[in-house]
Amino acid sequence: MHISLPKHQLNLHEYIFLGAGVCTLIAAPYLASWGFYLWSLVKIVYLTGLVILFLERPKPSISGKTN
Amino acid sequence: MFGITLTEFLLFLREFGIAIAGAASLWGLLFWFLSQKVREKREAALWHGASQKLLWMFFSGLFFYSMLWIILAVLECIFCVQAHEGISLPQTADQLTLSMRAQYPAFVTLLGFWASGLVLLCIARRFLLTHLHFGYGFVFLTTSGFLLYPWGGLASFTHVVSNALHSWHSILTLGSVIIIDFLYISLRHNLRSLHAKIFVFVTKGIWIGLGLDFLSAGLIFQEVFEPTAKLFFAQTLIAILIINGVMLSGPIARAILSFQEHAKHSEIPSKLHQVVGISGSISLASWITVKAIDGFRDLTLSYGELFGLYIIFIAAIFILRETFDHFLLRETHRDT
Repeated sequence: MHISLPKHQLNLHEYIFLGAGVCTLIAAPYLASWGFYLWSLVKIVYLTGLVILFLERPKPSISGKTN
Repeated sequence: MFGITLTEFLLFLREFGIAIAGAASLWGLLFWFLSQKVREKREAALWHGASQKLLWMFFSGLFFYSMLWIILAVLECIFCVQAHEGISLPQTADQLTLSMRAQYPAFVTLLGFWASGLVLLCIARRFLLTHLHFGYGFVFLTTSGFLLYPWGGLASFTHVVSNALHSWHSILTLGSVIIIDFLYISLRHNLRSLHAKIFVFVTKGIWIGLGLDFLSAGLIFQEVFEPTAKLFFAQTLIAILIINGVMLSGPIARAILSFQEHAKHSEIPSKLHQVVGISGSISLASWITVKAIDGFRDLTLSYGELFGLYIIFIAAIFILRETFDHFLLRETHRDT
């Protein structure tokens, strides 16, 4: 049976975490200069995502069940 | 070697053991609670089965921690550090000696508990499995006490809070990643329907653990922030962990759930299984690496060398996982 990853199914907290991860990746080599400010901001964004993780109602999977 | 001392290496292994024991008891206890809470009998039995499955990690983690504690005590370590995210407070040799002496009664109790559990496993397995949740609860509280309390004494309240969060999050991060990996492989052939639920459930704990680490780093980073190659590499790993975690707990977990809803009695497709394997290996290798390099204070490796070793480590874990999985699959087919 063919199975593919569901598309366009990220929850809001997943978008926030993904953004935080990408920004950390960009900021990591420049932590000694401007990267430090971005890196500090990412921490706050991540903690916001954590709050949303528990408040958000998850998107249903293909069959309609939520996980 | 590479600026890593024997004591640093042993301390890393000791934290590895307590993280596994703590995580196995935490998730074992939570799965047991779920088995009591869920009304549907089959699902309750599945959660109970998952809780019992963690018994092996529970005993192994405790054994590993106990052995390393004893070895360190014998060697009377001279230098010690505790860290996870690249920003941490170093402990002096005196603080370590003080903390290990203070921990001694609690450690002996834990060791006695482990030995009694092992005896019960051999002579009264049914009794042990019935009362397993008490054991999980006891060990979770004890290991949390080991990690949260400032046994060696610290300079200020901020340091105490930061150090406590820094140590305790290992249960939710490193320990939980190992638990989720163990459960994925060991439940794959008999409790498959729990897979996606466990992914989502345990991953929430891992996200919280990383959040606690961010908070702990935020309390002390002005004092200890050092822009070194090691810190840059640790932050790269954190970024990889977050991105990989989103994929694993989001689209990949939902793909497994969707597949299981459509094909209830067949195996997860090998392609999807491989994606989970690679993602799981990245997660496990990243947490082990980030924890290890933070403990190794005088590491002499450059960013590029660290990254090269990290890639090799991911490959090694992936091969080990696949080998273990094939072994389990063969055993399952032999039983059936």
